[in-house]
Amino acid sequence: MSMEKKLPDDNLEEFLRNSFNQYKENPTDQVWDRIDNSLHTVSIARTSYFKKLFYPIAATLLLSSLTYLIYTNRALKNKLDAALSLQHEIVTTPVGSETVQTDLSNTEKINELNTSEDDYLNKVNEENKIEAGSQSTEPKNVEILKPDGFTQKIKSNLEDPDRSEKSSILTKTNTEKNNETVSGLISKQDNGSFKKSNGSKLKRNQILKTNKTINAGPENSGQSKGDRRIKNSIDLLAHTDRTTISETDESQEIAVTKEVTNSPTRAVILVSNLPFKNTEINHTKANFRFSTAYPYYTNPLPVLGIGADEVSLSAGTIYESGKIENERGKDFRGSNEFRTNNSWQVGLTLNKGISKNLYFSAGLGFKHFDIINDISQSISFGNRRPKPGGMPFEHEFPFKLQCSAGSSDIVIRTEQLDQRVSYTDNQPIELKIQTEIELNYLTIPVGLQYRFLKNKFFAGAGLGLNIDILARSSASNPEVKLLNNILKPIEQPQLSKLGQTQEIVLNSRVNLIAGYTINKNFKIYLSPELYLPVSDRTNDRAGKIATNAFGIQAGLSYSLN
Amino acid sequence: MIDGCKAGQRKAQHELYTALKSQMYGMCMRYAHSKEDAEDILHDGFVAVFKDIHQYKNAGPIEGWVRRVILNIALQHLRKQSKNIFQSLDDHQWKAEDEVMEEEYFEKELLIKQMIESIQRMPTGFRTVLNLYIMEGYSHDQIAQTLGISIGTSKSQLKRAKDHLRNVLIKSLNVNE
Repeated sequence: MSMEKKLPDDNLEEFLRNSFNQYKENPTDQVWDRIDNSLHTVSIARTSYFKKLFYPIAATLLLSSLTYLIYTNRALKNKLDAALSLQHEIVTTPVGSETVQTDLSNTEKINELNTSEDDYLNKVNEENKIEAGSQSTEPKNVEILKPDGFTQKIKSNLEDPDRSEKSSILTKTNTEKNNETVSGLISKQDNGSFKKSNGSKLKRNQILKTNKTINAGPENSGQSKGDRRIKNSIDLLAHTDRTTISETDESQEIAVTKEVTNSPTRAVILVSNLPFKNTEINHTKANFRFSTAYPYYTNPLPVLGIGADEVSLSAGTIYESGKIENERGKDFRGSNEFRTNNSWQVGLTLNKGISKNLYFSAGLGFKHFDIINDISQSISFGNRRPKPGGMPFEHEFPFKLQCSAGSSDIVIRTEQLDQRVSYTDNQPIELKIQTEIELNYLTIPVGLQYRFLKNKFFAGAGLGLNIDILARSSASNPEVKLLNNILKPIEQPQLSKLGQTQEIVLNSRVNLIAGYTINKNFKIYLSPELYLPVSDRTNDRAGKIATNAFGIQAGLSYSLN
Repeated sequence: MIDGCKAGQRKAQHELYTALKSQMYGMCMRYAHSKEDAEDILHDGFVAVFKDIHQYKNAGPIEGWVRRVILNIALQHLRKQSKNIFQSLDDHQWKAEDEVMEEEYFEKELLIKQMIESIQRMPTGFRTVLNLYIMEGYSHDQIAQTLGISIGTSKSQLKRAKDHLRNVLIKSLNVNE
């Protein structure tokens, strides 16, 4: 009996309508999770995204502003206070019978200055001869700090009458002359002509150098045989943000460095008494312009301190691994993991010293990632889609390929190995898909770095933010393997361009640094780094990326001071 | 519940979803070619429902309005899959594979499930015409306008789709007998 007679068109339509209208089927629980995420993650994600961005940007702006203020807000008043403080600090100890020769002709540094300043200094020199014994002005808001570690030594030097006389580095005459020089500088700055004529020079350190030779008699020196010439030298180092005076006494193996640090609110004088051996004297002098006067500064090489700006060139490797947690439902359960194969970065960084140990760093770099993405998943035979006009035993599986750099829809074309067998929709198909991805980013690192020094070695730690801007991305065609004996791939799927890739990626960065000071200009260092993602590389909400990355960079830095 | 949905309350949204999910998923299954695809349509449909629910003016049951929204999403979804799928219906040389009847399909519910799977295996255009005409009550004129095809194409594809389903049903019933 023909069944078609039982199912005329109207009946069929009615049957289908009734059947399908009543037909209900529950979706998987993941659907609601995805809906919920889509509805509420959108707003949360936006809020969260801006929150994440807000603090790094605010911190960066704050640090930049602070740095700008510190290095640009150098009011004339601060210079005046600093110089007055220096005058006040200089200890004057009359030597009596000692004769002092001030050799201002030894001014190779001064000769480097421009003509107007040279003329000015000559003028000051002349004035010094005429107006010996000029009075200094009392300083304002000056605090004198004497480091504990050297206090005793300073005291012993100063309190021992004999030693005081011997080790007294500044003689009255010399002190007065230096005071007058500073006063002259002040008065010249005060009327503006110095600043005007020497504006560009003031941006770099300047040394006013006076060498004195003291003829110390036997009664003062303790020597039994004849006079002895004690060579002292005084270096007056005029930074744009501070003034430093360094006095060395080679015979006593003692150096005293005084530094006046200008700040918007007060001037601070730091005094230290640095013992050194004769072999180090010249070294100290040669590098004096970089030296600082901090009490625990025992290394004559100037690697730390205010104004010790540097530029660094670094290169290194990056290693990253992670996984993508697919939220598309039970049919797509499996693993989706990625790892870097050959990834590296190079960069140029400017480190701006904002205190003795603290640097603000910013730079520009390039990151190259070669990533291998491995997907291992099981899908059901029922996920095949009809292939109009195709061979009956060819099956196509639409597949959404998700990787760390984005996602793309691909079609996996397969052929049934045994055509005599019919498979149910529940028949699992095991897939392994490998894709190679190349990502290139321009990266802008900003952050802070803290360093401390031990002899020629230094170490420290830093934290910051890397703003990675996508320059280029590409992906190879995926290689699909079917781990079963029912289907085989007809051809490897073609990968269209990866979509949903974020153009800007933010990573927070924590790093350690350890290095060695080669000379006054160059340092080398190694810096292991850990990167923690702040934002995702992809905006595909169906796949949540969990990743971590670390790298190590080797670098060479050059001091700009 | 609807007011809560309009206010964006998660609890109300979940209640509405729970009340309609199985019914709407059943509809999605007919338009999709796989369960995965159906879940995608259901997801996108409900997201659109909750985003646009302020447009619902309480005129008529909410089920009907939700159904229309999800139907539109389903049609958009099908268009995304292939832009020319509806224009090229006549070019399809589709030959339905012999459906494998198994004893487990004796019961009516399973029979319906089998038919839905048959519908899923149809080319997208055929499947869509069948759904719009029989289930949504569209005329051939409306289908032609909606899918951008001719009325003749709509009619011919509906006939072929129904013939196929009829065969499936007959074979199923024969097995049953």
